[in-house]
Amino acid sequence: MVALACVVNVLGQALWHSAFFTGYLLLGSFGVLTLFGVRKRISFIPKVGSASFWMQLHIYVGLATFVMFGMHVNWSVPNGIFESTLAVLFLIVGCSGVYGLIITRAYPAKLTSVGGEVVFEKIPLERARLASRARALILQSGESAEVLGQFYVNRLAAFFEKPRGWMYLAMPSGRLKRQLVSDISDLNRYLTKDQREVGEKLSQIIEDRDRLDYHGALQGRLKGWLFLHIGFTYSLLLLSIVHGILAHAFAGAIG
Amino acid sequence: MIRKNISTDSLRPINTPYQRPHDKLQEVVVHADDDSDQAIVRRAPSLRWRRGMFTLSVTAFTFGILMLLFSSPSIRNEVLAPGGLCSAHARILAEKGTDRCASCHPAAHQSLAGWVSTTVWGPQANQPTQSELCLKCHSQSLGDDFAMNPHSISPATLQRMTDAVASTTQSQLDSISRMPSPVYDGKVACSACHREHQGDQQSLSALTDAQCQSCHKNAFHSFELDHPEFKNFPVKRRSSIAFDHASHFGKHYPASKTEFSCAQCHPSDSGNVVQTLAPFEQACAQCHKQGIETSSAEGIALIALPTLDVDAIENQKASIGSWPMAATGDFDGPLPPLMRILLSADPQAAEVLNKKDDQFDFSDLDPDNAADVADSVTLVWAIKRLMFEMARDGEASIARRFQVVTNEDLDAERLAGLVQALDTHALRNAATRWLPDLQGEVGEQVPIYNASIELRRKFELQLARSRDAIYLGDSTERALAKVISEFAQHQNDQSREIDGSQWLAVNPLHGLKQAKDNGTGKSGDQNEADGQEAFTPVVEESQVEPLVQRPPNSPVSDTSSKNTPDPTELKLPTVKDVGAKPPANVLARENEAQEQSYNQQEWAVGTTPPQNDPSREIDGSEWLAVNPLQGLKRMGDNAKGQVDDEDAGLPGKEGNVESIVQRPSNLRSSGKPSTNTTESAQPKLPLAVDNGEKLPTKNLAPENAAIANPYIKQGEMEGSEWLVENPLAKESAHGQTQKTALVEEPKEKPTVDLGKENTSQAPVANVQVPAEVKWPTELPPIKEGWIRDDVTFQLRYQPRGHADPVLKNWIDVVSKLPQSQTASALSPAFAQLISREGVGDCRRCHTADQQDDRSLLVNWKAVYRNPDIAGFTKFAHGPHLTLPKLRDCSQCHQLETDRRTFETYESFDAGQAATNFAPMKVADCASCHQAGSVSNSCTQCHNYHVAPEAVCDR
Repeated sequence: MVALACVVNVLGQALWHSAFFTGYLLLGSFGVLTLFGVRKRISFIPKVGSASFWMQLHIYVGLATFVMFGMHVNWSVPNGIFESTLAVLFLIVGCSGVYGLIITRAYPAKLTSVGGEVVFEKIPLERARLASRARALILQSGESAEVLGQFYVNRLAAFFEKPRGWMYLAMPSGRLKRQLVSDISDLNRYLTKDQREVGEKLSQIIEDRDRLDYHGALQGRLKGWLFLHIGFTYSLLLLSIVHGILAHAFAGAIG
Repeated sequence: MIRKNISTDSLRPINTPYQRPHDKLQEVVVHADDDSDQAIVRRAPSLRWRRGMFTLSVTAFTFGILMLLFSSPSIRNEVLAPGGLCSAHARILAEKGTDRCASCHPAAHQSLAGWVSTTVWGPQANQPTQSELCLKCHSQSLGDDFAMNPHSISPATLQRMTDAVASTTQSQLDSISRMPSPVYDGKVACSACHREHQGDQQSLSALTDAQCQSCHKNAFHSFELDHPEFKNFPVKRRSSIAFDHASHFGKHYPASKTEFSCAQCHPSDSGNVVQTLAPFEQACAQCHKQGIETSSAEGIALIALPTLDVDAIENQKASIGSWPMAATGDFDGPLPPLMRILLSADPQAAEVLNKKDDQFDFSDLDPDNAADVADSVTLVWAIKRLMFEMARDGEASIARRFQVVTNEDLDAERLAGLVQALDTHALRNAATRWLPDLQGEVGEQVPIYNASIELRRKFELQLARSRDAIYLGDSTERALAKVISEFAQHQNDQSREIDGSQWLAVNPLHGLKQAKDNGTGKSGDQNEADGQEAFTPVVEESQVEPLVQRPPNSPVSDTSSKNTPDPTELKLPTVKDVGAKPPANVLARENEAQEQSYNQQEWAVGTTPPQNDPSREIDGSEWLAVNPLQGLKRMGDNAKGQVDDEDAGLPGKEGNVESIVQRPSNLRSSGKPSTNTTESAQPKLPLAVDNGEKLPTKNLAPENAAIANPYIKQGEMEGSEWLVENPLAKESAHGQTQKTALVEEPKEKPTVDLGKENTSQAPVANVQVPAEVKWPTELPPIKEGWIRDDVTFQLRYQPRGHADPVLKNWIDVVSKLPQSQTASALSPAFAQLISREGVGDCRRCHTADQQDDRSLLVNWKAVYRNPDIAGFTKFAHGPHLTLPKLRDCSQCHQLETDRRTFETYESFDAGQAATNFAPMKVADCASCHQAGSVSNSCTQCHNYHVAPEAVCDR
């Protein structure tokens, strides 16, 4: 990047339009970054580098494009409609990539720390099983556990039967879990010893469900950022090519 | 679409979910029992499939938007514009709406395919570049030639300046051959520095120091730290006016008890940018005006006829043709320097003049030395050729001769100078007055020069431009069209006009010949057929005949000539002829007094006062031809009764008027008098004045009028006057000699349709004046200041004090001759005009700079700097003078009284910086212009775009 900055500086002092240079660099970088996705689709072809290599290359080139972009726009905010759109697309794709990079490095540790291991696709199954277990536990306690039954109907049924809302997916927290466990604990004064054991089991199921939801939220993010990163990549490529054509066609250099 | 792919719920073993990465659908558990191995699942779109569909949708949306944009040019331009324009461009282009892009971008009207083509194969050959579109509006300020060159000046100039700087300083500037890459073919695209679409708050002309230093490799960190020291700033070169501030401050002003004030001579200009120099009248006239007038009192001679020793010439059996008798005697008279230049274009004269020294005078010739006499004859014929050519071609002849002498084409500027410096009318007037037989004598020797024809055309353009500048104050194009149309109108109106070239075509003796022919009953055509006609009559014979003043004993009289002008007047139009007011200046009175004094001397010889006698009437051409002393001799001849009227007026024949009257020696040898009466021997002297007032003959009694001006004969008058009645007609009618001929003003100017005669009378033998050579017929009067001195036979100009335009133009013409300092033909003119002791004292104050071609450029303007013309360095006094401490001029301009400057002013080297002031230092400016204070950027004091005029040597 330092070398690139020096080159751009030299070009600028030489009255060159360094934007052409950085623009071509950006476009080339986009190509390299796009090849990473291609590489994943042609994994059967050997001698094109490992997926890990391509991943590292994708990461470093992707980060370099931020510097190139800054030099390209001369560290200013584009004010044309087309160029502003292009900049927004670049930022969406780039920033989503950076976000993906961050969470793929940070979330595994978080998931490990909360314990448990579940495949993202099996989370609904596990969630259904937990809900079934909680329902069965209440049913087994019989009419003697009226208090617990009432509590399940009023508070736990919605928790177990429905997935967590968008707020939890955006900011997962154990506040609801703690609240429910605390409420069950508050019911102990009205419960018998057997019923208290049922309550404790319910609390455990609540914690398992919350852990499962936490896994679901984080694993959802790990998969969701690609919607932005890949979803806008081709639009970015398309507009970048058009931008390059326009820049050449409207350039003011002596022909 | 996605929902369509959702299958109905099904019961499946939960340990075998239908999950494959690339499957479009996956199974989502809807319900499962904890103790059961099966669960109710639902098949739904997979996450990958959803992501793919999202990506496809976004891309398709983007593509669709682009297609919509490209299909609508108006929306396209708005959307694709990379940003707002600067305020000036935005304001100018606002009226063009969405089409404004095309004002600067050739691609604005292209389609997407065109853009792709431009990108891949480059712009089309016939497509203007963006810089060229810029210059559509900005060429007025940047010029067309070098607008895109570095600093908007020619590469040669830039290289010369670069070399000059590199030779004197340690500065490292890239040579033009090593310019940065954006310089294509020595040109820099406008957009290399001016980056548009940065919004209305940007300064499009703002340059960074880094941009300057892309070529100026000697990078400066800041102005105050390492900017190179000024060199003689602010005096890059000596001032145009040789002025010694020190002596005026310490000597002259105190001597005149006048306060020396800077502002008295250096007021601020209207823009408060520069301190200008007050005009001569305000700053200098009080002390220097009288000296200038004294220096130019003698005037400057353009043409002068020398006095010839015709006896010595005849003794050498040489011939000089006709020559004014008043200009005969001993060899005498210098050649005016300007005339010497013109004569040097004649090969024969040049050969003679090259043998003579710079101070050659005819008095240096030894009448007994055959070689000297031969030289004089050569020069006389050269003078005749010169005067004939001048009379025929006007300024064009002089321009052509200048070109021959200097061996280079006169540029438009010098042509314009000649137009301003000459008086065509005076040239022709002098030639026809002094040497009326030029056509017959040298007409065939002087060819029509193609160069003269070409120069004539240029003169017409220059004249038109000068008229434009003087009279119209209009655009050159419109003025030119107007003047050309005037010319065409005048040329079409030939019934009232006579082309100057025809003046000489009218043979002054032709009338006499016709008189003779009339007497013999021959027509002019018959004479031509007889081979006796040496001159081609231009005026139709029927018109000329009654106008010719015949000898009194002519057997033919023609009363039909009443109210018909004298054809000789056609040769000698005067101020009055062209409708100008007679100048009532002192010169005219002096000439008149001079003439009368001369007359008195003639009468003192012992002759009787002239009596009006038609027998003496010859056409005006004889006035100069008649030797005033010849009349005395004729008197003696008449006493012998030897008169041959038949021979009188036959050119080329021994004993005719020309040979007898104009060449006394012939007269003596032939012994034939020209007239048969004693009255015909009236001494005739040339009129002295043509540009002055008329001689006071009108209000005098006839006798007194004749005494007052003995050269006005009956029926004859000065060139400025016209006959109302033909005296010959009266004579014929009354059968007696007309005693008096009162000169009266014509009520209407008579006309002669010479153009018609020219076309109808063929063949034209000697008059070879093609249409191209004809000068516009409406000639101006003799310009003020020009004097045709018929006593000394000089055509000279009397400068009128300071800034005389004619003298200035002559100095310009001579100064621009490259060899003016060394060539013997030019050196006298150089001494007369260019030296510091020259006429008018011009060069005492106005310095002259030697150019690359060794010509000189006289600095007429005191200040050449124009604040509107951008130079490399800019400085505005105004903002600085707002500071109290800088209002004292000496704060920056410190006078050093021991600095002497006049030695440098005498030199022609303009590069010498002569000043009485100590040069300024960078530190003087850097005390304010430094980082954190007043701007210290390159462009604070330097311009990038430099006007070509600003980088000349001035």
